[in-house]
Amino acid sequence: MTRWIDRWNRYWFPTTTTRTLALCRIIAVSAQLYWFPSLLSHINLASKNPDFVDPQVLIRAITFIIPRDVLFTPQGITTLYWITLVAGLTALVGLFSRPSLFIFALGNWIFVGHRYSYADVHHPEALFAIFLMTLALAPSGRSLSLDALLRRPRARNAGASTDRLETSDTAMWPLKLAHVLLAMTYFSTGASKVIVGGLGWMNGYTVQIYTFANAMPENRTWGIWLAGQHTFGVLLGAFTVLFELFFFVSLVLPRTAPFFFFNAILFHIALYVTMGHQFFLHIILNAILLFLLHPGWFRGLVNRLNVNLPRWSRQEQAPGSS
Amino acid sequence: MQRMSVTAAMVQGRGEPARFPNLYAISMFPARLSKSSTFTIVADLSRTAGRFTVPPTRNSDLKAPSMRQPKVWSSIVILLVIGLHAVPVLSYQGNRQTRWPIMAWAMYARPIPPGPIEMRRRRIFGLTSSGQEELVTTRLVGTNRAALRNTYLNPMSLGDSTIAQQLLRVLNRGRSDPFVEVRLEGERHFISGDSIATEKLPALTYKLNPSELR
Repeated sequence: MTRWIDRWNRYWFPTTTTRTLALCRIIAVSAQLYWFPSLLSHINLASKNPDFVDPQVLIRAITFIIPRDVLFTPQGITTLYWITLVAGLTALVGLFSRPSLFIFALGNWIFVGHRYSYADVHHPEALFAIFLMTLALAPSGRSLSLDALLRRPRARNAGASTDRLETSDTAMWPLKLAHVLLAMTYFSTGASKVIVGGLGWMNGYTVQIYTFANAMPENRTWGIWLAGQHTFGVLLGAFTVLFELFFFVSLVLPRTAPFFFFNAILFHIALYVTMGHQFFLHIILNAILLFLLHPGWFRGLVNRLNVNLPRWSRQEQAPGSS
Repeated sequence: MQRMSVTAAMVQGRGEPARFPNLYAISMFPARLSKSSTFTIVADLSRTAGRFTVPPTRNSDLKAPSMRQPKVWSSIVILLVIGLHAVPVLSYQGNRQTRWPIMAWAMYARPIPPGPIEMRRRRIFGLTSSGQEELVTTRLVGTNRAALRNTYLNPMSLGDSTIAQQLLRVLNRGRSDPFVEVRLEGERHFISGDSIATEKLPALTYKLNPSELR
């Protein structure tokens, strides 16, 4: 039992700098502020529908306490909108970081839950929303924040070293959880394709027809072109299934993680360009993990290139070398 | 040891001492711990929940007892979030999931058998009592694109007049100039050789029940 607990702690709670988590906070909050819910569309949804169609569990829980005609009205939604926005701004600068993050995340959860309570549910926001909430449960304001700035004089007066505040053993788990959830969801998507249709997903026609159906209404040139390429359809179908099924390898072999994160970014960019699927927050999440989950990999790559490039160029220039 | 020193060099960067554990060596399934490891663990879950002792790393101090709690709560959150993702898989709700953000991720699971590369694009136009024609949008209906398609467009394209009446009722809420008719138009686009061909689909018209006008 103690060995399992130790493994658990070593994986989820290594002692690291809190700057990584702070950077995550800044990037994640900035992204969510950029893709902030539209006030007008939520007011329209609430006004045009006398009741929810398939309310999300969160919305049902809220309306159990606060009736629909109190919160989900133009005034109620506008109030929630501004509270969430202000919380986002304070979370961004790191003022009352964790409460701000919690309110910001919860506000976004309510808006997305509201949007998906009218017989239409989609996936792009789900993982990022969970990640945003976990930032509120971790020491995200310990560095690169107004909270940290305000804490320094107090710490100095108390005789404590301000450096000690910069490390924590609970600074990595939100990123690790995001990584695990990405692996789970990609695997789930890939496995469902294989379970439902076997190898049929790689027949080329599946990719072509899905791409055509999504690209035509929005006149997406690349998607329309891709829909006419059968060989590409077969290759992309195979790549999609293999990438989704084997993304979890990045958990088992951490050195492969940057490769998977980078491919995930390209994958979602390609989905947007060809089919208009807006998995922007997944792109942001994969980018955060690419650069911040194992920050040393990029520096290591640069160091290795710095060491090896001169050697390779010397070998090319050496006489007799083929 | 060699792998540790390589990664320590990665972390060192500008010559700072490697202070943090080798994250690359810590995978989900790490190798057996060395018996000479400096980590010592005391865990007694059966007596008191949350009495995890933080394993000290080489270069960090032992944590004060009050610092143990965050790791316990974090662990509970981790297990809860991961565990909850089994719920939508075991109790699958199809397209109408209600447990956001805990969802089943089975999008585009269905393969499509070999056949023409085609798609159908449909629109609904409404005609008001004053003779104005207006495109029926998601904004007008108060719904989202997929819901408009699944709830109204698709059934109406199959001749479902009940859904058409429902749509008219929804559209006419609070309107002084009510819609008296909705017309479904569309095209079929398909790839033919190197180009895209278009074929107009027959229009379907649904008139409002006279009883609804009163």
